[in-house]
Amino acid sequence: MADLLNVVARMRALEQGQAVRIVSQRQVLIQPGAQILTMLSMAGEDTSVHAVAVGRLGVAPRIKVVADPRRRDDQYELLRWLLPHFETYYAQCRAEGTFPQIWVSSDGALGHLDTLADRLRFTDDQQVQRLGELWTYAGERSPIAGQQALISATSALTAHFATGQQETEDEHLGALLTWIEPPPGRDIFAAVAMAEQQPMGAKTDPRFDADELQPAVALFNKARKDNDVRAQDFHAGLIQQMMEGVIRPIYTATQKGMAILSDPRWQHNAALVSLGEQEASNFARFMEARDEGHRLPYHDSAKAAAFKIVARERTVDNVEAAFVRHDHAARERGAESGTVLRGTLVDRQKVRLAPRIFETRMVLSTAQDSLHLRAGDELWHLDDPKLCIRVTEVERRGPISWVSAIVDKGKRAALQLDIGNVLDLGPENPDWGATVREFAQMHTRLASAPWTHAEVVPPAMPSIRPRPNDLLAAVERLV
Amino acid sequence: MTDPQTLADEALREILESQWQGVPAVVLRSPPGAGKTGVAQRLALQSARLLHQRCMVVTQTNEQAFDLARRLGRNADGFPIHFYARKDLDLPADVRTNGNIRVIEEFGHIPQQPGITIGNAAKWSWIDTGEAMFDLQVVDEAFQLPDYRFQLIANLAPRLVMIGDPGQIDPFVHCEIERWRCNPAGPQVSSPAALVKRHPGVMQMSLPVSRRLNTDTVRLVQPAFYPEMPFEAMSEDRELRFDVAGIVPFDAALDAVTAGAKIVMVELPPQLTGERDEEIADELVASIRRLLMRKAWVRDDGVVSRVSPEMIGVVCAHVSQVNAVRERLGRDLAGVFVETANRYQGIERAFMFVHHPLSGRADASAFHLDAGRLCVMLSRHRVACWIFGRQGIAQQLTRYAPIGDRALGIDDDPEYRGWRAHLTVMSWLANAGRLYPAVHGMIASAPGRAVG
Repeated sequence: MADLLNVVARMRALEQGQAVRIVSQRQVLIQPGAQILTMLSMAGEDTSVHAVAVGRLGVAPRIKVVADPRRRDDQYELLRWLLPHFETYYAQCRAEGTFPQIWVSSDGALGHLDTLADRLRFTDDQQVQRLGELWTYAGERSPIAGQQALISATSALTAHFATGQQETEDEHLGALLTWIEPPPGRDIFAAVAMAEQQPMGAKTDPRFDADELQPAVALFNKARKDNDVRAQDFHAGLIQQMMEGVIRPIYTATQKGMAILSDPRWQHNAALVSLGEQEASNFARFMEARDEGHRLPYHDSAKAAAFKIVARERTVDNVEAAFVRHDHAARERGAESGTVLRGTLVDRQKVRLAPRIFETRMVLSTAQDSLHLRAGDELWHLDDPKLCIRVTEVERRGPISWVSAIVDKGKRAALQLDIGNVLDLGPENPDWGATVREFAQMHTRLASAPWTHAEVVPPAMPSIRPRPNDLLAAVERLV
Repeated sequence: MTDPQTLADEALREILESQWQGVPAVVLRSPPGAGKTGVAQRLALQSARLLHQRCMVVTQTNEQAFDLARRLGRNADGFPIHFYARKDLDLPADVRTNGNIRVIEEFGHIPQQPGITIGNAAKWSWIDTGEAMFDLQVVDEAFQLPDYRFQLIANLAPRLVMIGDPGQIDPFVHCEIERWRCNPAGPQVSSPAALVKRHPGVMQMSLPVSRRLNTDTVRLVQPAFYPEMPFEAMSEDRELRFDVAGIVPFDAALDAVTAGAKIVMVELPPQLTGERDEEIADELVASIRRLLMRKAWVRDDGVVSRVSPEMIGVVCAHVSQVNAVRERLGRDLAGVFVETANRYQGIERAFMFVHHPLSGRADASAFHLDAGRLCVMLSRHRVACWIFGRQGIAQQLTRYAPIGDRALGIDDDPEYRGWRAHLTVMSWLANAGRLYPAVHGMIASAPGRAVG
């Protein structure tokens, strides 16, 4: 059903020829010093960096281009040029007790940065390795729910707007921005088609590569082979101009995306506060581990993978719990998809079970038809953190579900609720400390690695006890 | 040719024997309704009573733990069974009052002498020690346990038996797992599959017989969902008959079962409806009413009884579909058990009515194509199964063939597996002449509308 909301928003955008806002509250934190990082790789060299532009919101980019990133020395020079920039930024965030945030243009660019970070950690240059480590913070955080460390402008914008095109088409930042702020008096599809002429990811246009860039790089390499310094400088300058022509619009579009989302029209979202705190705490731990010399492996051991997946699952739960409380749109989606019970209070009463033992019960009715509920489920009032109920029965009669429950917490508050009140109930408040507690338990449980997750299978140990002649019959007699 | 009972006995004997040999691990694959829990029960009793070991039994849910506790609690000699549960767990009355079942809440109270202790995987993972506390660990429904959860309990015993159905719904991991996608023994993989990948030499066995499914159903379910795991039906003695004769064409799908077609499909005219399809719900409930109205009798392994609502189940892919059916049942059909496929795992009924997961959809997403989901839906019945869906599902499958999104080093492609299983089912039903046009609900819900 939540998909239906998305379809309706897209149809409305199509009808209006302009993207529509799908939320009123901000969905992403924008850090004051957030870095915009735009990189272009060379065709066929996915983990290369041919050109880079780096800067902040409201600031012109610093750009560096190498003539041919396939030459390792040139490539490393570019990466070493970037290191002080990020080292300083990370140190500043650390000193302020906050976290670094990197903005890229699209999910494709995000993937490029993530892959590059992994690759750079295993080079033989310490400075390049260090840059890889710093970027790995952003890369490793990127798939985790609610993370604020590495943001793709397209994902951030589509969390706020729906366009009249397909979701995959929203991955082109230029097209997406055109939907959000269409040029007046022009057909939206013509404007989008024009915007799509400009590359917005991590790669240049194949036609540009074939017609302009490749010949220029070939001439540069010939000049180098011929030891012709003047020609070399000339062709390097030409390549610089060409790449700047591509990378500047991507950087500017990313800035534009940030500017749109910085607009004060987006209301405060309290869910983001705790996400920011978690991000800062994760960043502090990451940097401490680097200080202590812990390696960042390419592949996880079984034990490390268990810790990581547990942390991810807990985070998903906490982020969902935070958003259904504080984000109006998330709560509506929850009510539509059935993860939030939106029920009308039909009855609440205090029942005497025994002398001085009472139970507070309530009954809610709802017409929600996708409700994921069963007896035993615990639900919390999303607007009153003190009230918690335990479902005892869910009965569907006609188009209405009747939910009976016992009040576990907030009995007095429950009895003061008016019959006919509409309550939103859902998961418990986010419990960010739960991950720490679970990790402590996992450390105990995994203190000695089980053989099932190690290299060697133990030998068979036949029993020395007398075996019954007819084993099956002997066991059946026990059943 | 060996009869099914002998095959089943031989397999059980071999599993029990493996414990006398002290093999470090056994992965036991089971088709639907093959008596997995019965095997777990026997292994536990053998371990504690004959081998004088400390045996822990792991379930995935509290409901499964209750079921196993009930079975073990009925043991012949009144041997005490320990149930390891959290303090505030609401135990069913029959478990709470069973004299043979002793509930323990602290791990320090787990008996030191040979015995059997049952608990769910989550509870076991909070035991406050890193040492082995048992001799044998029996994991029931092991294919529902992701490897990272299994890792947390794996060292509680040096020897393992992992029992489960590999054809059912994969473990549910609700976070992003791309990082481990290329690892066939990754943390998200089902624990027996990950164990076999890490240690291919561990003992692996399959149960050869389904006690639940009938022969006709096995002919469809085995090649569609278990192409590499042959099995057969234990019983041929499953029959449905009616005191009231059917009317052609209204009762054709019901009467097909009396003629031996134990799994058939009822098709409604093609239409895009989204998740909730009121007409399918109408048709399905009208068919249930007709089944009962015609005074049906069932013969199940020699026991003849009148068909009652309690013998009937309805399984759907989505909660909204479950509610659409429940809304129509009324008090007289309150005994009909309606649930989603996820919650139907481990449950059986004599008669099942299935809302086809692809019905009424324009696309075929990974959720709806999931082979495990369809397998659960088509393998809950002992006697007969009626599938309800919109016409054109086979064409829909052809339009939405898998796009081939593969991961390096991973042979398994769940989307393709699901797509192939769906196509096999639809082809089999069509070739066997098991497709019937819908009639009941159409009349009941929309009087005056043209039929046929």
